[in-house]
Amino acid sequence: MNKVELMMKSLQKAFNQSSDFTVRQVDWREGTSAILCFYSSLVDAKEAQKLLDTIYARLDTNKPFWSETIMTTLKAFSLPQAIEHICNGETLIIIPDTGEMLSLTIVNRVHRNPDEPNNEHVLRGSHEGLVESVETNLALLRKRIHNPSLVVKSFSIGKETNTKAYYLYIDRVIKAETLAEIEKRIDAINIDYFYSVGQLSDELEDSVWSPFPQLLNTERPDRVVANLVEGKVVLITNISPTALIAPVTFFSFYQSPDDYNGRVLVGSFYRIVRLMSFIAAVFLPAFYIAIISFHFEVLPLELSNQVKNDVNEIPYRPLIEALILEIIMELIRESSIRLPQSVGQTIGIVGGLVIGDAIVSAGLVSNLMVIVVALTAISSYVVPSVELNTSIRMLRFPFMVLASLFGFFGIVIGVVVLLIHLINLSSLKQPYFSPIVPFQPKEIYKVFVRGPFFKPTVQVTSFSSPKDDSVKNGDTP
Amino acid sequence: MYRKAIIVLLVVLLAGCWDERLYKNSSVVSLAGIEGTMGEYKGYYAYPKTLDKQSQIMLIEAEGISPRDVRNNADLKVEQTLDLSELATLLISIDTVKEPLYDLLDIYFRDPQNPISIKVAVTEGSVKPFIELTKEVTDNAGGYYERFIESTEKNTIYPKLNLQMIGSTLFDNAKDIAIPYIKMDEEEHSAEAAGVALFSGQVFTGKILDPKQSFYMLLLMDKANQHARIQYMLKLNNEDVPVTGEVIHLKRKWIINEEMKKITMDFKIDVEIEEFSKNHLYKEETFKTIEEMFQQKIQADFEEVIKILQEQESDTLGIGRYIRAYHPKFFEEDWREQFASLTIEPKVKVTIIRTGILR
Amino acid sequence: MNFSLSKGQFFLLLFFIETGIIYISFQTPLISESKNKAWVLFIVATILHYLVLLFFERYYRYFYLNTFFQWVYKVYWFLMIATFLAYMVYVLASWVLPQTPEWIIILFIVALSLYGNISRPETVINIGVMFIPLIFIFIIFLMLAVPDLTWTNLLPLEFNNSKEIIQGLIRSVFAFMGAEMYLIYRPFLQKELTLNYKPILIYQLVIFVFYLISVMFSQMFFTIEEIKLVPEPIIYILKSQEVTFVKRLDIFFVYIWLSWSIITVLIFNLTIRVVHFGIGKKGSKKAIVFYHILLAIIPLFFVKFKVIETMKNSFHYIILIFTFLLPILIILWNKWRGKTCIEKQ
Repeated sequence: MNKVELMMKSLQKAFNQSSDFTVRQVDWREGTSAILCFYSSLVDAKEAQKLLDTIYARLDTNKPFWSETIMTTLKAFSLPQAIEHICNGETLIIIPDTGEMLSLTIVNRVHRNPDEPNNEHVLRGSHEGLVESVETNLALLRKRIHNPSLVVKSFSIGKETNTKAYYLYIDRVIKAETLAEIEKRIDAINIDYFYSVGQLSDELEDSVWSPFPQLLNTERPDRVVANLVEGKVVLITNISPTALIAPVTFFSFYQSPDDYNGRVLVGSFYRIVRLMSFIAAVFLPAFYIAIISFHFEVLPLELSNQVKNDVNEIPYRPLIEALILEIIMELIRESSIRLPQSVGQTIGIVGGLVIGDAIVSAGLVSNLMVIVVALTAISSYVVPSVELNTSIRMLRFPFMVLASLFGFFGIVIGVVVLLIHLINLSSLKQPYFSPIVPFQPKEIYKVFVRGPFFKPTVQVTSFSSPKDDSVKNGDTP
Repeated sequence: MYRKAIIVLLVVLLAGCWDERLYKNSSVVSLAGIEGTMGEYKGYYAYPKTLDKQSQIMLIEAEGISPRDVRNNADLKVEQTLDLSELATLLISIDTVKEPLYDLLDIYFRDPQNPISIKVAVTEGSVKPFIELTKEVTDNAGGYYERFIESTEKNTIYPKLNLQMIGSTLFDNAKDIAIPYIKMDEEEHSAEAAGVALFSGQVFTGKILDPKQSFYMLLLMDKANQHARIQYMLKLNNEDVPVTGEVIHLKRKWIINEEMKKITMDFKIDVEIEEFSKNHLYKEETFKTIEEMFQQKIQADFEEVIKILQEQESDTLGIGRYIRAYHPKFFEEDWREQFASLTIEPKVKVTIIRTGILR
Repeated sequence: MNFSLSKGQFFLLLFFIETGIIYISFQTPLISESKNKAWVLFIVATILHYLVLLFFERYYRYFYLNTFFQWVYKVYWFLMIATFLAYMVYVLASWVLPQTPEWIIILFIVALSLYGNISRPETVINIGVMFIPLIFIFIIFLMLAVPDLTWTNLLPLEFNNSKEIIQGLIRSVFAFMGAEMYLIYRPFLQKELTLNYKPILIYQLVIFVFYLISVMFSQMFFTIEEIKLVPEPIIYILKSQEVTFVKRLDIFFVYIWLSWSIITVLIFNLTIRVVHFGIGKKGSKKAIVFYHILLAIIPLFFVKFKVIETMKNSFHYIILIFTFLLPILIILWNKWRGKTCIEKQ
């Protein structure tokens, strides 16, 4: 058995006789042979053959740099490196005589078109979306920032999966402490098998148990760019179209590219509507329960008669009544996500019309409760971010329980706890509830109003108030 | 451990807490009435009851030694909890207010659940027919009288009042209260606004101003509401002509002469003519005559009302407050007697500023 | 404890300290003692308060508390908060939650304070921001009562009864309870910020307008005989207002007042924490938890009508001593000795 065959055997063994692993003996210079090996699933065979033909043609001319093209490199052979190259989708030609290997980087990239993400539609503005491929994503971002100060740093996650990931930032815009903190956290990542972007965000978040997301997820390149120029770090992986953005504030979840694509007044109006929807989504059912079971005297007389007629015959306590409807609501939501779009509408009709109407006429739930729950559901879907949307829908349950136990007193308790939690929360050690903490009166209006020109806001880095003049605040509360 | 926690949670969620008052378990009273005297009060409570989606007014009657006792006894007769937090109107019999009024109202002020922005009215005789009446005309007993009183307030017959204002005035010895008075129209079988009941301090004086007098009292108080219509039969060229004017502006000025114990009230009233079938207002002569006749008539009516008020020692105009604030030395602790002994002279100046869309 | 305050945060703290809890009730003793001239006396008291603040600003460096006085103040604040907790529970019980046991309400409020106080100090400092809009709403709805006001109730002004005048002035200090915390928090203000008379004047004007509205409204809304019966005049005024969509404003405003007062409790406890642990040191959580357990127990003994009444009738003297007289004495004493407080690093 000659050297070549021996080597082929050991390669087969290293790749566990996987059937998509191809290893072949090929003719090389002057009657010697070489080994061609690659994963047939990862290599674009047509292109690789073209390149091989070029190499063959050069081979016979004996030129000194015969091996160098854009997509090939010649290296000394070593088995671990060879394995790594093949795993990355390269085609490898091993020349046992000289102990060299030639790698052809012609990868068959599997990804879809950069379509608009389904979960983040906008009316106006760019309709591109990130995809499950880092190269394409970087191309989408580089297209928007033609500047060398957009820095891309790579790292790999997963000791076993070795997934490629990148973090991006804009040099001179990003704060040194932000960069240091994210690098520290990336170093500390300890994952064996990486397959979901959720793993990454769990590792990077400050408080995993908080209901509020501390990393902004987006699939929109324009949103990524808008955050990059505000001095934030963006993480993208090769396996998911989702980009993670940190550090963020609570209010950035309520901003949408639509605000800036539209006109100033319109953008501001809808931003305020969205913030109001937060209040409705979290407090409306709790408020209704508190009124019905504790403080019905706040209702004006005419309204109170209607309400009384409506709730008079309901057998359950308001909390149970609300829970029934909320659970139906969540079921409809879950089922409509899973089902294909054509059937999804059927669920909408069954859930909305059939159950909604029948449950009232059956006397299980009052009409008003249906209105309240429906309104709450609509308000919670207004949030442009999917994560915050789910958190908010979850948050209203503790408030409902508190309201059914203590009425408004329970709601007050809940509000104070929620506020303390939000104020304590940090994203990459930076205040999450800025500009409320630290209190900057002049920044607060930006929460409600989108300014007439787009000047990036700078995230506050510490919990104590900033000392520079630009953010120094007024005199009295 | 978990199982225990879940059981505790379930118990709490199913049972609710101390202060829970489920709306569906309460009988929400919107109209209450009280009559009788101390020691033997009688109360009436009207609340809506829904049967087969049809709401119907129920009436509960109870007796007791105090207003609170009456309410407690009434609660015994209802299958749900009697709840007065949605009360809209309180009716009191005219015979009951001959005793101090605050005795009746104390429970409404002391209990945090009772609203104090409700309407109060005094009824002719027993309140029972007035409450029973609502069964036929409305499904919202309290709302009926609330609207009834509010619309009469708009026409400047009743003063704008609610329970809190009445309570506030009862504690003021420099002002008296006039409470809406409702009469039963026997033939039509409906309630009728019949002026105001004058109070002197805590008690009813026994004198009721008719709607016309009460209207002039409100003008004297400078409390003209949305519609304030003055109507007279004037004698023009030996012919009786009805003339109606609407008060547009009213300016009031009190001049107090401490030495002579005399108060001169200067009124400047701007009027728009709303009814005058003779259509000669563009004639300078007619115009002037009407202005002058209005002036005299109003002045006469003002004098009459002031005379009644002084006779009853009922300072509903709030002259006492004014004197206490600006002439504190002139103000005596026993203000009502002093009020009765004052000389009060109204002087009226009427100007017609508009004549409608006809000349 | 290590934190720094901007001007806005500093005055926000002071605002919540001075207005929390007593805003709905201090008018009753003031007006029933000094009759119609209450509002004039209150204006005088505000001017005096402004002068005291100016004095504090000028000499705050001399406000050095030795261990003894630190404990005096800690105990004073603790008892203060305990009685105010009792008062809050009393108000809640009489207005909205008559059946709920007092200890549950106290437990919840104290638990909130504990949660806030084991967090960073910035949490307590900034949480008030979220309640500023509610306070504006408070004022706006109070304005609904304007048509029901009797303007002649502000008169006559007679200044011949010196007892009434002195009582009125002394009872006005209720409004400025906690002003001594100016001295506690002043060293934490960012170094490069200087306060001259102007920001203090603006702060003073805001708080003055805020209070004067409440004093004048309760004076014009109630007659003097009546206000003696009404312990929480502001809530009572709101109770008698009716808007189209809500019949009983008072219920909402009791709760707004409650959340506002919870913030005040949080800040008071932060102050104790600041004084106890000192500047630049990190406090132990155990001590904070222990303190809060005490705070949950002590007020239970005070929730009685008699105690609340006694508190209302005597607290102004205690406040007068600890808020104004004692700090001034300490400052003068230290100035005479030439000893200054350690400045923030």
